[in-house]
Amino acid sequence: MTGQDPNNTDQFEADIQALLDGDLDDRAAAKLKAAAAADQRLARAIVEAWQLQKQVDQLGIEPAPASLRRKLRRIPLEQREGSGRHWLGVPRWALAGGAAAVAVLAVVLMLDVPGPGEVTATPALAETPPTPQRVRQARQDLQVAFSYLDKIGLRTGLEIQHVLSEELATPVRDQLHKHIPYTGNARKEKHA
Amino acid sequence: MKIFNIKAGLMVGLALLAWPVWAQEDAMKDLPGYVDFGELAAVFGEPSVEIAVGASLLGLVSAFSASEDPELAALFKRLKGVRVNVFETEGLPAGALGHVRNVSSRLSGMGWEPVVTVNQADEQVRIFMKIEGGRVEGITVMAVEDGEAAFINVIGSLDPAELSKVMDNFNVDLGGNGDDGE
Repeated sequence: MTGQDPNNTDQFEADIQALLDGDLDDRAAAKLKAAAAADQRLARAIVEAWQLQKQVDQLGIEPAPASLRRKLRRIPLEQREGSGRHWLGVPRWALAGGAAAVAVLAVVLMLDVPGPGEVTATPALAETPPTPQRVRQARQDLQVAFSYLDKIGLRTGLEIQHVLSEELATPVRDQLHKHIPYTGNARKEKHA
Repeated sequence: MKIFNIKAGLMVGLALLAWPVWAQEDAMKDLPGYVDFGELAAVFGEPSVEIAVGASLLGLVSAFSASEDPELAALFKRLKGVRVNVFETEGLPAGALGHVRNVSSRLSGMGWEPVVTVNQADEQVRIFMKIEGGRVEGITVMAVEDGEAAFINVIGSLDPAELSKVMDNFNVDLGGNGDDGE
């Protein structure tokens, strides 16, 4: 992220996430602020994540923290628009680039950590708005979930095919369910 | 003391990582398509894959997928939850087949329709569907075999025929897809 040390990327990503969740402490916030002031890409990434968060909030699924909504309203409208790919891998609505000064200013605003009286996302996880990272994770989770369904479905289909071809290879002279043994077991379980 | 702090920190960290799964699970429990698989950990140990995606996240994934694939987005929109628990096991754990039978009996008693049943000495597969008012409210899959046990619960409306469409959008190879000459 910094351009000098790619190993910092994960840490910065985690810090940005914590920032959006309202979980970043003062010390970490100050560190992130300093890093963003020195690194335009990082500053832009923070703004992009923030704007994606705004888009997520606009879906109306769960309310964003009031403090974040107030700050978001301070961003000039033209800075909310853009196109391309988000740096986390999902579509973005972020700056097209060349707005580093504004980005740094936005970062400074964001890093103004909410005071004790303000509502933040920290009290209960269930109340936190879904973050871009969680949405990305959810999509990956769904990939895995449906892959398992597909895997089991395919194997089961082959099993059924195998049984049918074996059982029905010879002429059926008896009741059909006696040639398909699994239906009998299923019935027993149902009435167990 | 330092080691203790590191351990405590790790425990808290792990708890926080698991928290989203718990939170998502809790939100789904009242839905008609939800299935309580019982104490899986007691039989199978710790899961190697644990997924719980609730309605709000599904809605967001749907929204983000809308431009790329409207069909997929529409499918996700109809879902209210997806839960997966996969266990890597050494052989077939004692009580594994009995657990599947018990859950199957309970599901049958709750109006779930058995769609597919595979009974073999080393493999058990159960696929159930919950149908209410002509609509699918949930699909449950339990597959236990030597080395792996998978428990899947899809809550909401999912036509099994749509599964292949979903898979076209994903590219995950979990291995053992049954094309190994079975």
